[in-house]
Amino acid sequence: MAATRPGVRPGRASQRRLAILMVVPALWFVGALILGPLGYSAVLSLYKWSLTDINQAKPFAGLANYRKLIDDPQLMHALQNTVVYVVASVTVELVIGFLVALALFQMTKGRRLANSLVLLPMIVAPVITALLWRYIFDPQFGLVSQVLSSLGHQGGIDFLGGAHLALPSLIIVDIWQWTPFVVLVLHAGMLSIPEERIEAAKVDGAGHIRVAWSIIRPGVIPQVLLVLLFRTMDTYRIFDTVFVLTRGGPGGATETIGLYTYQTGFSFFDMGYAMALSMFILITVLIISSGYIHLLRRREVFR
Amino acid sequence: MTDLAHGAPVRKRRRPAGFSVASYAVVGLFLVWVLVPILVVTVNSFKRPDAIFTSTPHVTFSPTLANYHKVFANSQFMQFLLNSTIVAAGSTALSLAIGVPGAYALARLPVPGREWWARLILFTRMVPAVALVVPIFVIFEKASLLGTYWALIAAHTTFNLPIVIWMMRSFFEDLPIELEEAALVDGCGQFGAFRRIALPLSSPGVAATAVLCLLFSWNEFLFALVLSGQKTETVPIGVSSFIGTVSVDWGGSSAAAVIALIPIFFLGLGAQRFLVRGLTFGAVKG
Amino acid sequence: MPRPDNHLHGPAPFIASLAVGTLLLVGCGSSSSSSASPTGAATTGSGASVPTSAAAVLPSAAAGSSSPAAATNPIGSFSGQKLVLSRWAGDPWTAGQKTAAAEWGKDTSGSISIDAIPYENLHDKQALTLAGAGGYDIIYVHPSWFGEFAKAGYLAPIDSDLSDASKNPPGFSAASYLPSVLSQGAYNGKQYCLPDFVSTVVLAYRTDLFTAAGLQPPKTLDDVVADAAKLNGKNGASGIILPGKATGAVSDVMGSLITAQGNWWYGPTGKTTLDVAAATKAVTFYTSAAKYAPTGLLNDSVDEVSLAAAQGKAAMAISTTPSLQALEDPSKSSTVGKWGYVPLAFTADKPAGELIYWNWCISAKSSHKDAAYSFLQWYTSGAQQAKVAIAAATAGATKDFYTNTTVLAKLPFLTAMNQALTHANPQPSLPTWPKIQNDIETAVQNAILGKITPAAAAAKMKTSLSSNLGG
Repeated sequence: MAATRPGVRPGRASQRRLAILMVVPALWFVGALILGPLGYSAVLSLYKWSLTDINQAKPFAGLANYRKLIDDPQLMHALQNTVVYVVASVTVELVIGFLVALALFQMTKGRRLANSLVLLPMIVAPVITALLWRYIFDPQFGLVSQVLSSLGHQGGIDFLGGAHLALPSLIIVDIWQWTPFVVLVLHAGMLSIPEERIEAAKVDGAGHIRVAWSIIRPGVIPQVLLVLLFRTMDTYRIFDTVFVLTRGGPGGATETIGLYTYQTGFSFFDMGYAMALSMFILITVLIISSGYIHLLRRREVFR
Repeated sequence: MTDLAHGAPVRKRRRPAGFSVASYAVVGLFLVWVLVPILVVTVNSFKRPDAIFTSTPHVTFSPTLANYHKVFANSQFMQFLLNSTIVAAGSTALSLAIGVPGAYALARLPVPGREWWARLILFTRMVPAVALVVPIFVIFEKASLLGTYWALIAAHTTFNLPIVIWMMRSFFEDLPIELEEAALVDGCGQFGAFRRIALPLSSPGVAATAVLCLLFSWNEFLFALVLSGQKTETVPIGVSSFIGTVSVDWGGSSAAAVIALIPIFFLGLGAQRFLVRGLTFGAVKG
Repeated sequence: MPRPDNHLHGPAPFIASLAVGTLLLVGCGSSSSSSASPTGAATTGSGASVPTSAAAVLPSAAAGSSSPAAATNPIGSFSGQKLVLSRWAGDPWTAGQKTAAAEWGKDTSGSISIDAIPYENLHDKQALTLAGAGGYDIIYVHPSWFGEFAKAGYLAPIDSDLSDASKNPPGFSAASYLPSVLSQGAYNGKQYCLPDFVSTVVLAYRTDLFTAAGLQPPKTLDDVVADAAKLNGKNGASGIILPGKATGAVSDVMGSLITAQGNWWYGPTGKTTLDVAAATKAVTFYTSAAKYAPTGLLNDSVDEVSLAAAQGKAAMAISTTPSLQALEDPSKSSTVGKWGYVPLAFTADKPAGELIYWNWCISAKSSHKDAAYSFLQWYTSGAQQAKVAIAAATAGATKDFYTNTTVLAKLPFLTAMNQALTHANPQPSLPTWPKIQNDIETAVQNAILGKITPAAAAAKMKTSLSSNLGG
């Protein structure tokens, strides 16, 4: 369990040879198809080019693409939207996820069934997620509008086309898809809390809410940090559901940096700048997540 | 504290009725919220277009299989299903073949800079897809592999391999080290200890990891779009071609979505216990 | 003939020729020849002369010398050649093309498989494939990336094919196409592509609701706003619906609205010529109309617009002509036969529209260029486009297409479309256009949301055009 686990009879030369033999294919692959391409992208961010220049000489642009990052109002705008998206979706997912995990923890029967149903949204492809929600949100024919109109409210609600509702609607989609992840992670964390501590608190006369608050909540802090790490990393880069559902509209209200990067490269033909934006995303996400990872390492969840 | 994330003790508890009822209500409500969108699209897949686009909702409708006929009459959809199966299986096999030994080495053997490598692999999960897609395209183009299954299999391995390494590493570390030491004493050699002891003992972990890899590969869109050829396009491309801005075919796309969902539904059930572990890189062992 | 429009690619005396010619033909269609297919007859008439100006087409059309489209078989035999065609996915277009490809294959012993992928991803997929090893023989290229592809050398020139009598049916040549549309597929003096999918933006209105309310069909855009106000909320329908999602359609409508004022985004030199006052007026129309639109306007693309209109949710709809076919499709529409169509116009005598079209091109890396040309020539010919038109409501780009009375009768909006195209500017094909288009559409959306005034939206468009194009 310690951060560095002793190997089996370490120090022998043959062991070292075997170790290298076993680990080299994997590391070679990571180097050749992940780190190599990433380095190439970093190089490409120094050129001015579009997709059609991919096999041709590209004009060197130096740091021009990075200078552009500094005063790009659209990037600032996208960054604001992204921060709202990340903070809102991760917070709501955490709160609802904790409550549902707690409820699941209290259940004595049907927990397995509930567990397997809960995971469904996570395994739905983003393409299909967007399809589901496009239908539900459609103000003319969608599910919500039909329910409302049968209750006597005519005209539907402008979810994806409304200036104030579009971003929250996308956040709802994220919450639908990823709260189950939070539920399952936190539930797993609760199961690993030693039974005796909960019983001891009860013997001391603590009620359910008190147990939940002062035993279970602190008990799952490592899992909460993990959820924060993974959800922040992923929501920060979100682009697929946004691209399909709103295209960043209306009026840029749902433009995220993930979408802006994709559009810059693939729709606006400015691949050099898109690569610089990718590096910006990578570096910022690295900074944010290294904060979480530092906390997690202190709790020895991540080694 | 280190055991927090480990082991799940068996619990036997009795709860007072009131609190228990509230718990069931919360979970029940959550399940409704989770399931309704999926049910709606399933119901839509059995509706005629005019029944989907009606201003006045009808509870009853006469079900039709026309949308499914349409999807399968699009002879390519069978091809999409076959392609997705080949790519998912291929990428899973490749990821396991190189990832499992690598994970064992990182867990048990004196690999120089072991912790550093492990962290590097976590880092790969943060790379934006846009930054990988274009260079990987160039590599496969130079290797004349574009449009082949190999390109897709290798590309999907870029996100499956890190998962295999992290998950299997945590499975191997959970094994009691004494068994492998005993094997060494018996003269098995280190590789024998891996092959005869560690691998069989962690086979449930291998199976769970395999299911996760299949799942992620089945759903992947961007690599599949960019690296596939006309003969190797996968299901997500097929589904999205029913949803384009040009003309939304609600019935057809719903049917295509349901068909695409069925295999991953069963995969998901199979991976139930390990899904979270995979998504958190082995850090949560529920 | 007033021609206030600017054209980037060639002088293109646009569709005055097509429009007026067709109008006459529509008018005299019933009395002229009895349509369809005199077997084996060569396509004569319009193909024989090479009209380069509006005036040249008129007499020949009026004289009735254009014969209806004659069905000809594909030229050539390409046994064992397997071609791959890249296009967007979406029925009925893709399904129709599959049928056509099979038919072509039967006649020529070649085969074409169709790689249909979502429109949203088509450019990226094509650009990467063509930058790489190729893999496509025939590519369907949108104007907004035609210039980029031609410049990069991805496309094979077809001048020699067009002028080679052995590769074309008798009488068929470059002159068989509407010059102003064909010229959009040329780059640096070379012809690369054959056009089809000719369409524009028009207004559809519910004849029954207008009659019931005692209203005349709207003649100008001011009428449209006034009528939308009167009809809004009656019979469960909103006044009007038009696209608001940033997918290109908003820019198509805006392009039509500024063309109707004799203005265009840029001039012959490629620098911007946008008149901010004209753009302000266009945005003002957009925002006024949006007040009477159903909920969800800003997430409506053309298909949502026509679907909502088809289901009786709006008394009027502004959209692209191919998508408006949903109004007359009984499987999608509860309002079939209740629609009238008029062009967009600020003043009644000056209807206008943006010319929408697609380019069929051959990959420079294709090893089946002759077979590819054979298919494109045959597929874009009047007879074949007539089938496309009936199935999918897009018009062909050959002159003889517009003499086919059967087709004309099946496309109820064709008259309005032709009127709109009397003053038309083709969809921009500049490499920087996608970025500008995104800025235009975002500005319109923000004006509709009330975040900025129409004048400020117009100014934003001008800024984007200036910084991307100069001028």
